[in-house]
Amino acid sequence: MRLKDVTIKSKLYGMTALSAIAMMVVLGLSIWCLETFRVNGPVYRGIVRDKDVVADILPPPLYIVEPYLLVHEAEQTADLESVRAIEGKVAELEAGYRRRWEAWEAQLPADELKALLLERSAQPAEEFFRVAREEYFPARERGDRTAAKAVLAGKLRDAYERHRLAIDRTVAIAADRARGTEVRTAERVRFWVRTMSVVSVAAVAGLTLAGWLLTRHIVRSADVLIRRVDELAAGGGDGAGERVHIDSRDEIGLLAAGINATIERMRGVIQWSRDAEEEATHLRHLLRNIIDSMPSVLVGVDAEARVMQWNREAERVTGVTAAEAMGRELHAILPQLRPQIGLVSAAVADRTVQRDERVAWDRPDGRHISELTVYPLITNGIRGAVVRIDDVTTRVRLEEMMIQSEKMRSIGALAAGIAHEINNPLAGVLQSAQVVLRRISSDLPANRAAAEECGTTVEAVNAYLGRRGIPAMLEGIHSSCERAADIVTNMLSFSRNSGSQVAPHVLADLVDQAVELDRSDYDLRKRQEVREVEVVCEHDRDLPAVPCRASEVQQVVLNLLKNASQAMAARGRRADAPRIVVRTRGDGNGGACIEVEDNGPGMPETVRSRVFEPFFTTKPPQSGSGLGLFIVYCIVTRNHGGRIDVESAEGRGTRFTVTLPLGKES
Amino acid sequence: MGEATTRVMVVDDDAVVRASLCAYLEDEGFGVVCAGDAAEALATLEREAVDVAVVDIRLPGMDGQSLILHASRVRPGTRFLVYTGSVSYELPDSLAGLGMTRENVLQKPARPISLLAEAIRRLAGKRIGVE
Repeated sequence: MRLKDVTIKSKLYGMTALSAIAMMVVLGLSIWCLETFRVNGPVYRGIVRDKDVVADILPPPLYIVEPYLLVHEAEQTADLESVRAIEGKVAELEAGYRRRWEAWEAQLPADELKALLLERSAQPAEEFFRVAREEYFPARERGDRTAAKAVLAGKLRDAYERHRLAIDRTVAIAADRARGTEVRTAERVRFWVRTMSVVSVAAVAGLTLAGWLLTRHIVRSADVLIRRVDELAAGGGDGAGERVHIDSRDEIGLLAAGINATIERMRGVIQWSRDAEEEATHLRHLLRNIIDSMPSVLVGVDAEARVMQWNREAERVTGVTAAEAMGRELHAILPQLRPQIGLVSAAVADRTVQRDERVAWDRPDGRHISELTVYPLITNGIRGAVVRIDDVTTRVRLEEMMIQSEKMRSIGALAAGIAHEINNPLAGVLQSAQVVLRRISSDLPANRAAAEECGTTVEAVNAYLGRRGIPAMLEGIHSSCERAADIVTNMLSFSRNSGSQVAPHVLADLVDQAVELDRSDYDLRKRQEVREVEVVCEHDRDLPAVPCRASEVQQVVLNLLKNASQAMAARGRRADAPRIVVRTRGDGNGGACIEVEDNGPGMPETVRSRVFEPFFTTKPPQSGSGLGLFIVYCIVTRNHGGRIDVESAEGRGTRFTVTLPLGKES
Repeated sequence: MGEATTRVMVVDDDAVVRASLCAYLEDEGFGVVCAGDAAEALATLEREAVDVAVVDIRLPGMDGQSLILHASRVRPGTRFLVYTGSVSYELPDSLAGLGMTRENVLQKPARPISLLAEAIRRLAGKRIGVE
């Protein structure tokens, strides 16, 4: 097991235990040293004892010099009483000596010194005191001074000398010993002081080093972890970041492993959330795309008609960007929808689809018809609606055109039928009138023969008829019938086979010729009601030749020009000069167009919708037949399989657009 | 006159038109016979030949076109002038097959009426078919 695998807890406990042990060792040593070398301690006492021995021995009573001197004093005196007094003192000293001996016997350890002092010195001392007591002082008592003197010089002196030798030796030994003990003690004290210093320093250094190493390890590992955790918290790097590399199995290692596991999980979570976000973004873009790809204006609004969603078509149609539209009320952005805004609240309240199929919407490029549909949003507790606005202008125009074309077809059929029915009686009247005129003239031989048979003359009959105004009436019948026949002929002139064949013609040339014809017609007739009108041609020279009947197409252009220049009369006073533009161009869809555009007064819808009907005219009764545009319509639609559209804005002008198929004539 | 007189038959169901047309053509010097319908016209042709037949298209019973087809078999030398009030009359292929063209069609009413006489004279002067 490696050291780095030992847990920090164990290391800290170990450190604490080691510190305690070291402290105890140092403390124990200190206590032991103090105890050993303290005052009255064993060492101290050893030294003191040895010194005491010397001090105690040299003076009496243990050193028996005093009794020996007292015996000598007694020898000098003859007075018995004095001798007895001295004998008493010696006895006191003996008792003192005994007490001291017992004291030392108890104090001294059994060593050489004790033997010397309490045996080798004590034996002669005991001998001395016994001899003095049993031999010397009894001899004096008897008065035998000679005997006494002999005892003193003999036995007593001998005992004293031996005693003194032992004492001298004891003192020498004790002094030596005391000196040796002091030296040894000093050495021991030095040794232990050194030892304790070394142990203490070693303990402090060791513990400090171990503590520093441990602290460094913890701090370094913790720093690495803290940095990583900080990075994680700050979301630095790529968020999930690198794994923490700590190769140990202690708490830091476990913590690192935990952080690594957390990082792994966070990576997973981050990846998951990225995936989810990506998917959500993808879905959002897809929905956005779908909504933006719709050809309809799609606007999401809340219950108060404030815009929440604004698609690209809405931006395109209104010129208002989604960012500008957000949160604003729909009718504030599109004031023309103000009358319909109630549909939103109705849709939200009733949860039903609301619709307005004809919303007029004036845009810079003209009036558009919109269909407005409001779908309530009924899911997820959202209160609001989706407003769909479809430009149905083309569809409505197409429907109108279909109705128009149907109407025109039935009118055409009706007119043809009526013409047929009228032509017969007309022929009857006209022929009869002409026959009558011829039969009253004098030219025919049969007339003369008949007059003669009747007993009169042609001249007389004529004179009579002239008187009664008959020829004039016959002329009247004739001219009235001619007019009626003219009307029928004009009305159906387009359907009469004109003789010209369908052939490819360059529209620009046909138009130019028609414009030239119109101009000469104008110069010829000098129509008073029409002011000078400028006619401008704009041709697409790349337009291929169009299969058509030249004379009919020219009639179409002529009629349209005539219609336009007559419309100018009602133009009123305007800054711009009256002007007609005749344009040829491709329609981009396999067709060729002739446009005749004026800047006249325009016409209201009620006029526009009926403008091709025969005999429909807004002009004074004498100025037109009301058939010009009807003929145009029939030539274009029936004879050429083409189409004619009319756009008009009151006060701005009118544009007729004739579209002829470029392909095979239908 | 006699031999030189051009024989014309007018076939029209409208009595006034028929009468005035006959009167006009008589005045113009033609030898004229009238018929109110196809049956009468065919019966006339059985009896006598005409140079030119002026035929209305819309007739009660057999129409003018069928009449012309029948008549051309009965009297192969006959020339026909279609005189119709219809404004959009086109010669059918069957009549074109007889050699008829736009010259054989006149819009009713003829204005001026002299167009009729001119057309008849023109047709009468033509040699068509083989006797």
